[in-house]
Amino acid sequence: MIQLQYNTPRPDWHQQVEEAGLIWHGAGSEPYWTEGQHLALSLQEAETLEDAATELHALCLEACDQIVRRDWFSRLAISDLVAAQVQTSWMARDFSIYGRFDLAWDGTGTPKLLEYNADTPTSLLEASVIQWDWLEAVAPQSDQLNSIHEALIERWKRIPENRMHFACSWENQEDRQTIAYLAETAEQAGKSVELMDMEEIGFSPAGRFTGLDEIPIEKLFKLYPWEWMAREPFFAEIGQERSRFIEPIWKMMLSNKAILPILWELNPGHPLLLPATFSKESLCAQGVSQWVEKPFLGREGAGIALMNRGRQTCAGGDGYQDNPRVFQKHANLFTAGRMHFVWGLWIVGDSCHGLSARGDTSPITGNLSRFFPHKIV
Amino acid sequence: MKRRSFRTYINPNGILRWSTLCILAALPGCSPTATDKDVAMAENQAQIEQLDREQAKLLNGEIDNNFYLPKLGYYHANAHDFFENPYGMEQDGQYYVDGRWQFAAVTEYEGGPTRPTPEALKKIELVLEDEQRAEQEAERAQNTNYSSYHGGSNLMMYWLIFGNRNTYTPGLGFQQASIRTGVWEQNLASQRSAVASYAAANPSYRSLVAQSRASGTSIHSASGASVRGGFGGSAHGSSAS
Repeated sequence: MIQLQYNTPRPDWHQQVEEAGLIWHGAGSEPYWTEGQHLALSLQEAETLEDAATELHALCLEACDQIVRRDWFSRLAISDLVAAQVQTSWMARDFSIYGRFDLAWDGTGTPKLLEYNADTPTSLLEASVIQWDWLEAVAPQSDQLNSIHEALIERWKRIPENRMHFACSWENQEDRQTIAYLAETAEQAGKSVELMDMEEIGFSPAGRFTGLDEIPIEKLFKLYPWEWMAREPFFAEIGQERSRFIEPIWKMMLSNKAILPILWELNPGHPLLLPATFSKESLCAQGVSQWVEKPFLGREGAGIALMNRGRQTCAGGDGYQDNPRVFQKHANLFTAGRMHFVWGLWIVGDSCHGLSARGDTSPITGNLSRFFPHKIV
Repeated sequence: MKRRSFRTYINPNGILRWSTLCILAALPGCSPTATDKDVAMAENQAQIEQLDREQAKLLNGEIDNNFYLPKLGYYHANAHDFFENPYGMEQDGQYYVDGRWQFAAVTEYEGGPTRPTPEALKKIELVLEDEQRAEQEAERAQNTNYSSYHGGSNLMMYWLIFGNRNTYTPGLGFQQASIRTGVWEQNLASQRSAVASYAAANPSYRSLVAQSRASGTSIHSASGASVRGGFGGSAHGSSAS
């Protein structure tokens, strides 16, 4: 049975996590990294989550195939111009590194898919390194669903290019450290790496994207959403350069909440999916009285509303009012200590390699929700 | 599910540790970018620092392995002479050592600095003589663009011959250089002053120099043929999901 347990904090944990790269372990007086509490799962429970993520990933890839075959891009509010690139990228199977599923599961029945952060997932460093260091120091006899680090290294080795650039919006420290960690794993895979601001990416007269040294970029990992890139000037220059970008543009099909009703439509009644539709009337017609409204491209809980028989019971942060919405049946989260927990399942390549958990007093996980380490007992 | 077989390893000299230090030190970036003026000043500063670093050794008549002097090349300490390629350079499966290519791999040179042979010193003096001639011609033509580094390079050659005057009898090039050293030292002092003033007035330049030293990379200018700024304009906070 899943439990929220207490443990003695490491006396020097601030220093430990900062030395490992986690320099945003709190916001003001609110902690982000939870040192003195953790989630304890059985091996069977961890494997239930792991298997669910691997199966969901396969379902998602099949859904991408259907979207492309049936030209369903308008259902995801993807314009024709962008759709052409997504389609080509999918047909070419442009290389992907990783993604994170968010699942709801209170320990009973089957886990349920809440969303797939397939394009720009963060909290990677804490999932891969920080919680593992915690486990070794606090509960060394226990296990953890966590082979993210070595899986990333192996994944980078599949790329033939030796020089890689990693870019994000430089003003955001969490994003910077996320690309720095990914670059660290690429470096350990033998790549030469450089970090840069998205704004520093150049486009040369020869038609190549360039680094600050004017040398053409061979591969670029960008922690920057494709939907933002699609409305920026350089998107018009993507053309033949498309396959140099990681995550690939086909991930736009999965990082969009519109994938949820499409998955349900393609796999009605699947035990890992929640009923989801493009209209609340359709959902209510299926006998659903509690649901969650989600903007297509919402991030970190913004724009989300929990509804009960048509009345809003809880809302996330402001934003995304102009986004189309999906309607998904409400699922019970694991709750303990007045906290609601969402499970993060990390896909590297095509299989699940890690588990993380975010907890909040609100049932909507937001950017200030706390990260909880876990152990398998 | 399998238990992880090894400890998650973060390289103490890797990119993540470097990024963490950059953020904690509030440095502007991990890939130093600079104006053309920054680049020029950084080059001057590096040359001044090299002169300061090497002066005592050169005045003692010694040179480190792979020390580079323009128009002479790289010093191979074992051979006590200058050659066109660096010691141990690899090309097409061969290695360059003491003026020859060989198939046997070269181990790192572990000896200390050595004194050049009289023949090598003669070559140095001939270059020094040519450089002074070019310098004087540039002065006559009032060519103010004549590189300041030539003064620094000439000083190093002069110091080296000076340090070996007990084993080598200097000729005309050295005698003329004895007269010119005052000019070169004056030029060096004014360059030093210009760099110090520029650094004092430009905190971003100081940060760039600090990053460059820590990372072992050179400062490069952001200017070039590429257009930049075509991505990144939509960012308002984190792209996290």
